[in-house]
Amino acid sequence: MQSFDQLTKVFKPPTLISWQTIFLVGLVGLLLAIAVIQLGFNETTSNLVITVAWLLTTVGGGWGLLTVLSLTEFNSWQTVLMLSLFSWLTSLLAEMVSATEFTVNLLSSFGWIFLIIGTGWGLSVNSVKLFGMPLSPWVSGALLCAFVFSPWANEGNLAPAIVTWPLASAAIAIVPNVLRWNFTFKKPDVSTRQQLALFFVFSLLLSGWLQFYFRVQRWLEDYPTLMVSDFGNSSFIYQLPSRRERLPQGIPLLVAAESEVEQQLNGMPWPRVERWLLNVDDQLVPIERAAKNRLDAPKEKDLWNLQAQTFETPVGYELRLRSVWLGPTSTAQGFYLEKTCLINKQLPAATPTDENEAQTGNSPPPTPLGVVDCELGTDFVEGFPTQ
Amino acid sequence: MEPVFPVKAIIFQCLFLLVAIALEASILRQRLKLPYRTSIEHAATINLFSASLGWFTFLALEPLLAPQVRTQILSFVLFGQFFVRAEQNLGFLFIAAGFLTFFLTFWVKLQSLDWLQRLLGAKSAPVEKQEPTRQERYHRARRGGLGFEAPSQQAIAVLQANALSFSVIFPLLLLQAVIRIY
Repeated sequence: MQSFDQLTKVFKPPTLISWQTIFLVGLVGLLLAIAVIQLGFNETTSNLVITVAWLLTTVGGGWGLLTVLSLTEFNSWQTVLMLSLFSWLTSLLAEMVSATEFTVNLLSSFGWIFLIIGTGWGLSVNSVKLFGMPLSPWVSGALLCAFVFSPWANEGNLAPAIVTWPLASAAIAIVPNVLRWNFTFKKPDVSTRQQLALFFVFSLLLSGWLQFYFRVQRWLEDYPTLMVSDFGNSSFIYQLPSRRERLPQGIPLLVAAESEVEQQLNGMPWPRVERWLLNVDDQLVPIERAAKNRLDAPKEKDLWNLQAQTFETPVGYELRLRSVWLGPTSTAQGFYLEKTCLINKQLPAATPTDENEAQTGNSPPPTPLGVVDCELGTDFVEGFPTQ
Repeated sequence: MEPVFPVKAIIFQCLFLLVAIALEASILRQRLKLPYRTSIEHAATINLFSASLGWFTFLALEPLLAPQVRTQILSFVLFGQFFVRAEQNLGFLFIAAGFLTFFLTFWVKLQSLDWLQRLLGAKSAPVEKQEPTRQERYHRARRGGLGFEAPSQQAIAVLQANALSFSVIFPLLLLQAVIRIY
């Protein structure tokens, strides 16, 4: 932690009138300005505070830069870190005066590169270690991956950034040992070569573990119904206990199928309803396809099966819609979800013309129509449905 | 991101790697007359390399597999059991996979040990063998040799080391499964 002490020492103000004081006052002023904006003061006040604070920070920082540069050796990690800070500040300034995007990106890229080189250099010169392992390549590798993938700009880049981090660290550890500053090769001694080989294979293994983590995450994203079962039996993964209720995708599937059945059968003449129910397996094919197309997780399509079974009741029929999970579960027997719908007949509302006709002519009695009434709840049943 | 972490895989792999490195280092030390520290470093390097290569192979092949096989893998990784509804003879597949893994790891370890020794300068690049003269072939044929080279001391050492570590880790895996069931 030597380098950290050095850093804090650098920023501790020696006297009242020094660059550190100005810099710190400027920083505090910036924080104050943010607070002022948050509290909703009028614009002129906050603008004034920001301008003054910004001026103080820049003046203090510039003075400090000059001082540190004159104090320390020119060719040192402190210089590189200061260059990084300077690049950041100028890129920020460029952004404030709304320069072109290219300029801002170039300046901030320089800031990143100097930051990576400076921290790596500083940590390795002071040989900062964590558990006996040099920290420098890991930190520089992390910064390099952050710079290259910039996961805050693109959410999808987080996994590649983390996965390549050990490999980048290994590369950063190896390169200074085999390459001189003037790009000629050198051969480190045998024990260093062995250490570097071990470092390399260890970083490979670490990358493999991280990739496995992200692969499991993708499985759970593709097949969210897997989260319904518990992973206690796994010898690979551990699940932190969470109170979030997991619902199988079969429920929205059943709801979609139910609304489709209701739409088709409500108001259908009773003989046609009976024929429909007799032929329910064929009728279910397009309904299943339509319901599956509305699933949140489209990859689960092949792992659900929609089934139906009809029972006769004294007044009509009972239709049991089932969505059967065909994928893996923690219990060997699997599970299915069931929703029961009652399909009854109902006489159409008598219209005045009908009454007139009934009085005058000898017309046949009106055909009853189907009416579907489904339960709200869905039953979760373990096992496989018996037909 | 779900709160699911491959902690158990990492812990068990560290455990098995420690066992394998300790055992294989002792075999390499005896067979190849290596110093204590060197044997440990060699065994650690080749084992970490073969383990990470195994991970990379699995991660690369997994999306390419047939859906039925993928479901089985998901079931095994997430729930610790195979998916029973498929009517397949999994025992045979298991044994075949075990044999395949054994010989692949043997080959990987032998190759990586070779590379490591070349990297450390302990061994120069193999010299091109000259075509045997007519006389030599005649003598060899008379002696009854088939012209095969005897396996190198190194190959025997790695084979023995791999066999030892596999035969210790396999009961450990079985033990783990038994403990999980009861």
